[in-house]
Amino acid sequence: MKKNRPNQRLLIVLSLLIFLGVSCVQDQTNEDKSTTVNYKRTSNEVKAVLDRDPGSLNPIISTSAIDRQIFEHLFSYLMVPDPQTLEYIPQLAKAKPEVKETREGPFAGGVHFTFDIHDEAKWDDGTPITGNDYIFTLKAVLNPGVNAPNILPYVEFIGDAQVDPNNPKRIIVYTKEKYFLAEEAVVYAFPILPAHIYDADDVLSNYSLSDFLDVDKAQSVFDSDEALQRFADTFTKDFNREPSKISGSGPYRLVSWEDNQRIRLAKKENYWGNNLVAKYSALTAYPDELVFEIVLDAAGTTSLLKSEEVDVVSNFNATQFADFEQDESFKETYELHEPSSLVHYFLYLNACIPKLQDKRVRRALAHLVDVETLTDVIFNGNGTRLSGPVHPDAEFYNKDLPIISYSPEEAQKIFAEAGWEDSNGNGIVDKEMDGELVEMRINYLMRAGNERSRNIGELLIQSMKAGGVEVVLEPIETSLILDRVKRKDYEMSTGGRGFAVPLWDPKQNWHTEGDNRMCFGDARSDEIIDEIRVTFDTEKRNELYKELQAIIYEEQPLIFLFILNNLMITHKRFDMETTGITPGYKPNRFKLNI
Amino acid sequence: MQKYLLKRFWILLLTLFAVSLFAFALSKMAPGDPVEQFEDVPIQGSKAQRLRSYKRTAQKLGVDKPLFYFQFSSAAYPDTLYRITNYYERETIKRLIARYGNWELIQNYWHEIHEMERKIEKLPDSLDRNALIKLRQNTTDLFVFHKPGKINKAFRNIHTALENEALYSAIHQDSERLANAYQRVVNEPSKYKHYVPKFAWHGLDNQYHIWFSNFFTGNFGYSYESNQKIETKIWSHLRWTLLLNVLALFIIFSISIPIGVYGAVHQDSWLDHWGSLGLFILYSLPSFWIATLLIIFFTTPEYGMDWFPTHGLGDISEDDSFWDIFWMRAYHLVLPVFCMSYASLAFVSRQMRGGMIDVFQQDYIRTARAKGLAEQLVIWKHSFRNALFPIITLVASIFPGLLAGSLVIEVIFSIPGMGKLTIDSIYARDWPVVYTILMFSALMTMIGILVADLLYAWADPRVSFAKKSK
Repeated sequence: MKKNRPNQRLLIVLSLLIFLGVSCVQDQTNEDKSTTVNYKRTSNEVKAVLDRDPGSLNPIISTSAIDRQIFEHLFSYLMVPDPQTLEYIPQLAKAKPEVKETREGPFAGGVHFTFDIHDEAKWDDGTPITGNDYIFTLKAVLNPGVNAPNILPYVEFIGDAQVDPNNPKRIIVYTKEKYFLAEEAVVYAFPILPAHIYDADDVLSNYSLSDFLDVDKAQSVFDSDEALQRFADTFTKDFNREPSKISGSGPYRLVSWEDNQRIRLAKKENYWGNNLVAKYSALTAYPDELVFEIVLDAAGTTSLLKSEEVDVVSNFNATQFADFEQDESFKETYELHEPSSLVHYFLYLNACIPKLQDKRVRRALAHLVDVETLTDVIFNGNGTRLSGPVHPDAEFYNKDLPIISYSPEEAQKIFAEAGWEDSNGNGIVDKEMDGELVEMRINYLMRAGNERSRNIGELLIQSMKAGGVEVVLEPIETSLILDRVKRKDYEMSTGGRGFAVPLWDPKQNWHTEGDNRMCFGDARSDEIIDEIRVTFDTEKRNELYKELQAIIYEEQPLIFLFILNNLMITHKRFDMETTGITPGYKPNRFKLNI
Repeated sequence: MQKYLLKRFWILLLTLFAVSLFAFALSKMAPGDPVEQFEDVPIQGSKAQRLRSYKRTAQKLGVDKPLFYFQFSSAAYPDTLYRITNYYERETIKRLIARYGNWELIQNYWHEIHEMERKIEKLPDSLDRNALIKLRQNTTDLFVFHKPGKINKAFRNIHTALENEALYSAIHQDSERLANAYQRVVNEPSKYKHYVPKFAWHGLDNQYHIWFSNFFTGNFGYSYESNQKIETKIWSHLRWTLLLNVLALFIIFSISIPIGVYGAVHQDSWLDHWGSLGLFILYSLPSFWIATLLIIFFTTPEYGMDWFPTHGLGDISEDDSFWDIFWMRAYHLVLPVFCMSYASLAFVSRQMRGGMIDVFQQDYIRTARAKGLAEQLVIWKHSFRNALFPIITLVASIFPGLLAGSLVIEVIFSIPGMGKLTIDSIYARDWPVVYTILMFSALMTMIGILVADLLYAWADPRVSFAKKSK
């Protein structure tokens, strides 16, 4: 035995040398010299970069925004927003629904929608997609053992849903009351799942939809039926990332998911929508494969682009993007885009505290935020200013409300009108309130350890100082910022929010009964918001939107900063159009041009 | 020896128990609402809907149960506080108790806020809406206010809202009851209760027991984030970390041990000096910097040296053969393995060198040489084994290291290893994953120390764990 040892060692060392040596051999297999275009990548495969691993591909329980980027290619909705117009267009549905007011029955006063699913629509095993699959998915959402926090709010006003007894492909959905977003919720709140696969034991068919729509009844049914509990358990745990389990009616199937590395989707050979694409653009699926590369480091993404290993990157690093803009050889291979995103940023002002209660003070503060410098210095000029909570491109954006410019002089004038002046000569404006001299010293809650947050804070100190306001930075842990804002225990903080498109329900953030953290709102603003929710006439609703924006502008509960542009890079061998919908592109619509 | 092993086994169990307690306590001290932090998109919808969703998520996370088997606190705190599912309400009540100590009165005050809120919801819209809004907002604020100044201000605002006659007649009785309830809290504090200890037994249906008992029966649970089985999730990351570490360790030991022995045998030679200098220079270069430089220079055509892949572990297709996969992985692992290895060469070789020099000075080596034994035999047979002590000590740290992974290298090279998984899970507050990793790290540390002890005995027969007989 001992005599063999040197040989063993030699073998190990040799293996290691071979192992190291192989690394020096450059992989040439990807290079296809046959094409006339001098691209390294020529295949009809779109490779997109994600900066983190998605959570789950079960669209019902998914709580992560990134999941949808994958599962929207595996499953189909009745309707989806058009990437350009953002209007809803049919996907599984043959056409827009027929909408009628419900005049009698338990849901009188509401509306009902009638949809027809494509005759050609079928699951992978050839089974037709019917209204029963829609009802099953709705039951799954409402099952008390299935946690679907992102979908439940949209289905809570559904009163009932029925399948036409004479036409299994026809669904009629009743709403409890009139609500202008009802259609959106009915068609786009959840994709339709195959009942015979996701509920192989047919458990949910033992219950009617009304059993689940009544929350208390649903809970008692759930508590007493073990089969229902088992369904919830299996539904929650088994259909998240296993290619053999996940099955939808979308144009792609899940081929593999390597944790934190990549997710690969391949186009189905016999996709039912192939023959309908000419008429229904929502069924478009040009690429043969969609690959989502998970790249955790920004430098890694840059290197992948430089070595032409990926096709699309969004929300790219601003500095590196500027470098690429100057790089002509890079631009021979890649296209650079800067579409506006659907996220805007602002500063919260707590109007509940005495010194910020006067709207003139809040307006003066808005004049003291140098948004242009802030955008230039911190975000490389990559932002578009806005005056309120509506995207400037939206048809109901109130164009009569000008952007509030940086003007310490104007701020001081307004402060003086509101009774705030520097009476003690310390450079900070003050005012006597309830017998006490109050200085305009504002605490700014910022994320501890976050360099960008600190830079914003430093700029605020500088810009507000010019108008006699002292900003004091208070760095705290991110989760505590939310806690403090919720308790209205703050003076100023930063926030960000997505625009709802194409329609906007302001109730959640702006109604006094909503999650309103700035003490904004009165009877009129509440009334407008309530009216918006039941107004189906677009013109009339747009007027209401504009009036609400005017009130928000007047009250200035937030200082609106900017909308960040989405810095995107795409490979030139594909024709594509950017979209405002996150992440800014639809990989299924990338059309090969070589 | 058996007794020794048995003793170590019990110590191992105790340590694991202590680590589990520590990890659990720390996770519960993390600030913020665990339910809100779990949701990527804030819970929306009507108030009833938000409450239902909140409750479901709280149940999923298990935060609706008592924390531990028992509660040892001051008599001021009730043992049923965990039943208040909403984090903000629970925290406000805790702070009120900390200030006033009279739980019964605070409970009554809380009940009155809820009553008032219910009454306000039923008020007709025909009333003065602005006054109604003021009334509702200030009443709701009481759920999150605990500082007297803020509460008093809310009451003043409620009072102002009730200047509206119709509103006053509709709700003034409830409002007065609420104000009185608060006044009683303030005027009848029971601060002495904070000095009276109280013990409450919660039974086995508590958060810690559920997790700990599941862990020991091999049921590690499911990840909150991805709903994956924990063992599946950890294995999918652990395999890469193990591969990286085993390769790196192999390289480190197979290069640095001969260097260390050579340095000791040829002490103070020019090769010893220059070799040490070179290794120390490598040691001083931070791996994140080297890794980034390697990526910049050797993975893109920009500098004409596009020799290595940029990131990850390669794109394997369904049709690839075993050897295709092998070479693909090997090709992708070269840079990360290099970055994980180079810095340790100096450390291990210096340890080896020092160990050998110590042994060379021993009498029995001098005797061996005096007997005329061949130098190679003196070095490898008589010295090397005894000089392994410092290397064996390093072994103890290798085991937990095998599990822990290197966050920096994993992030830069986009390798889904344990370091990244641990950090991501902590940020995502995916506690089942964090607990399991932590417990296994503790286990591996203990095993590492045990293995090192056993190796000491192997390397030097003078080391014995049996009790010496007198």
